[in-house]
Amino acid sequence: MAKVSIAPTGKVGEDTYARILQTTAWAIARDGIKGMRMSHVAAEAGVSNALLHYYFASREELVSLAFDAFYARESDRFRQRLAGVTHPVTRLRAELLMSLEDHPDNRLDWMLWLEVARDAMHDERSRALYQEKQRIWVEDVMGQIQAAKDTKVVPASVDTRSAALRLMAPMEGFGWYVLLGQVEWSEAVACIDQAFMSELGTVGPPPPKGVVHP
Amino acid sequence: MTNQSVSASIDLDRRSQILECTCSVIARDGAEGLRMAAVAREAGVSSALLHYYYATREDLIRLAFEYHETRETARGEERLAAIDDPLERVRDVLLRELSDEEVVREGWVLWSEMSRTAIFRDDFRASVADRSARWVGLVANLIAAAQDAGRIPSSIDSVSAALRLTAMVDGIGGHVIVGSLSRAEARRTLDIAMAEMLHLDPDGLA
Repeated sequence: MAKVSIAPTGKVGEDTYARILQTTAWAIARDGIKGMRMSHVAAEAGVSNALLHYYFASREELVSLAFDAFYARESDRFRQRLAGVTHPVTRLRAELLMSLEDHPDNRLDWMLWLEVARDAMHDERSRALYQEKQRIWVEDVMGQIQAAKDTKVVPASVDTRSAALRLMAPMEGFGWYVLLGQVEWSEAVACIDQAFMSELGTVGPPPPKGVVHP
Repeated sequence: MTNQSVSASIDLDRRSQILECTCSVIARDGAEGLRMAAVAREAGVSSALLHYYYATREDLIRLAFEYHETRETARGEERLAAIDDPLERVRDVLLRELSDEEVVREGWVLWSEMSRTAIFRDDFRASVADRSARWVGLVANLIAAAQDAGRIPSSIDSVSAALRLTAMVDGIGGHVIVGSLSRAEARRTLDIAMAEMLHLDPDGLA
């Protein structure tokens, strides 16, 4: 019978499990999807190899669950910060700007994104993950543009998908430039605002104080 | 030719051959598992000679990337010289990155390998920063030339437009290279972006 992964129950077990997944995400960012070693993760998370192998049946499963956990946490982090922002354009703009903030989780996010993009050139599993993340991202941006059209904040004539692609595509270039310190935050904001003006005709009212910090 | 310059030119040929070979090995297998012995075998040189030219595999990867970029820039200049319309030159360098030619895919693989490692290595970061600055600079210069020729309004900030357009190509190309976006939709998306950013009549782009 194939070995299966066993998620823990109880507070201590859940904390350990979350810590292992977080440690794994950083290990992938640092050593790569293929270079990550389970024994290093066990040592860094302060658990035994036996426990790690008890929770996670294989490396592949550990990698895949670490990505899932990371993206679930990121999506919560963004949702919480944007909770009071109702204007669809303001919300979309704040979301894009937030992803460029100097925050450890943003760094991790861009590092994982680069690693998946790199591995996707040669690995089916990474390609599938990369395509799925791209699809989710495009659909998320499209959903917000559609909401802006529905509430007449942007003209109905805007082509939702085409505009979504043009708003988000440069973000991948900027995310990387900002991570490496090649583009100033203010420069990135100016570029994003120009893109909002040409695609949607508005940047929306400014977000409430504290939602986006450079 | 003196004996010395003959041996220098053999030396250069051999280095080019090794770097060409390294580029195709990386395009095929990625840089992560790249082994110097395998490159030496495929390039038909001894491991000793390979190590003589390139002390470490990181040197080999970085110099292969720079070789690829220099070679493609030279090819790009030849292509641009054959295009009369300065606006079409801007379009050519941008759309080039969405082409399905193997050498373009090779470039994407090399860039993604370099970018990923640039986070951790200063030499890779300097190399990638230098090449991105040249790429944005080339587009900015082509936009400025098209402005001089009256093909793009002079009110456009050429450097800022170049930054946005190249960032756009980076993102869209990333979707095309893994098959998330068709080349036709990518080209259309980029053409509309060009028209918006450069204040052109969209129908004016052939």
